[in-house]
Amino acid sequence: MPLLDKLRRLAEEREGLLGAGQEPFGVPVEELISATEARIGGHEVLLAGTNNYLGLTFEPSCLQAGHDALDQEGTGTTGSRMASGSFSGHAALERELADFFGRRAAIVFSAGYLANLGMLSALAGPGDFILIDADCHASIYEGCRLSGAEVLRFRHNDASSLEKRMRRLGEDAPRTLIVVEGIYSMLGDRAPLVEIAEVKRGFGGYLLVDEAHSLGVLGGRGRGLTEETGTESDVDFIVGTFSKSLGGVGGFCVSDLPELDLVRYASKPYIFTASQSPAGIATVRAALSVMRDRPELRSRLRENSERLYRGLSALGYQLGPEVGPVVAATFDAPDEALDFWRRLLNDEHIYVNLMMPPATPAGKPLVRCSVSAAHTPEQIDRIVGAFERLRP
Amino acid sequence: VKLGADTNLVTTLKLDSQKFLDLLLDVEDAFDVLVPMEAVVDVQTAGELAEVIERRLRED
Repeated sequence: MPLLDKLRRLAEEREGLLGAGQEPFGVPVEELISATEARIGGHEVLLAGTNNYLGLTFEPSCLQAGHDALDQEGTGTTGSRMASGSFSGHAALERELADFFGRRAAIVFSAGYLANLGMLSALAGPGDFILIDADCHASIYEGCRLSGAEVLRFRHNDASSLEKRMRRLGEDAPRTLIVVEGIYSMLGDRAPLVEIAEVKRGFGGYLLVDEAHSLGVLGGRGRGLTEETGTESDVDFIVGTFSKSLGGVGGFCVSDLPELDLVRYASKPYIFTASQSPAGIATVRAALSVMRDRPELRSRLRENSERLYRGLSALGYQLGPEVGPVVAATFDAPDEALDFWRRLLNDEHIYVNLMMPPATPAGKPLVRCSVSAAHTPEQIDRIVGAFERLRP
Repeated sequence: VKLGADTNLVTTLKLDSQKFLDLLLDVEDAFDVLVPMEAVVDVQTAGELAEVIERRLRED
């Protein structure tokens, strides 16, 4: 097959799936008005698909920190962390993250995607095993592939499926890395972490939890599902991203294990990537401080999430099993979901995410909302009202 | 569709990548065996999948 044929085939698939009309992927945002409003297609649009869970993207202290770092340290580091790109801000953020999670140390990566790539490829290698939840994010799948380890899956959120496989691994179980997520991005459901931790304790091995969608959302201090479920002593590695609750870009891993420091020498996605810009690091440090000091943001996010979940549920939409900041309505057919998404944007001026199979569970398309602490109750009601008017 | 060793899982049964991996979970449980993802990268037909399972069972 000629080299580029596989890409040209994508054009046919795209045409078959989307036809003419508003492209649902990569929607151009013309102007940001606030954390929850933007101008799209010439209209003021309510944003309900941005993962901006705590609404910190226009937080004054974060803006100021970014401006100061830009003025004092320049636009970029022009080097990787292992070369010239480790500025004092990077090291300070690592100390602050370790302190926030109550862990021995942290590593900061240039993107959340790279955090999974970098950690998984460094922790496991040929002869090792990685056992992942079937619904894990693409970055986890790719990190596994990069590691060279034998990659196995267990049924989504099914601790007994994990246990069966750990039993089959026998004496190899202790050299197995189990990987789950705090909140799964498609339906917003949470891992049964207490049961998963119990399996890990029984068979040995290591446990890594990706708290990308649960950082700042769950737990008394916002540390995520690990804190919420009281499993911190069982979880060896917590990975996360700065691009959701912290309103920036980047990723991290925290751990008590001293080997974490050695990941810097073993992880190509860490070694061979330019480090995060000084301004980017500065806004994340400020956002971490806001997240720590203002637990009321978490309360407001929870209230907004409940308001939207209950509203859509009462309308008869089939949603994920748990209330959380990801509120996804399942549709039967891709064209039905696409039509709904387009009418939501073009007629109601509300932006949400459209998710298509095979990236979705059970092969069903999703219209996915993400809730923010910055949404007002009136904005949440506006979303519910639009879903009522457009109800299939 | 009558399933045979030559039945193509992708083109005939229309299994996308997600459905194929979910089938693998069922196969693992039915045969009480572990099949790593990289062992099925080149699998196209039911017969090829059966060969992978037999090989894994022998290795166990």
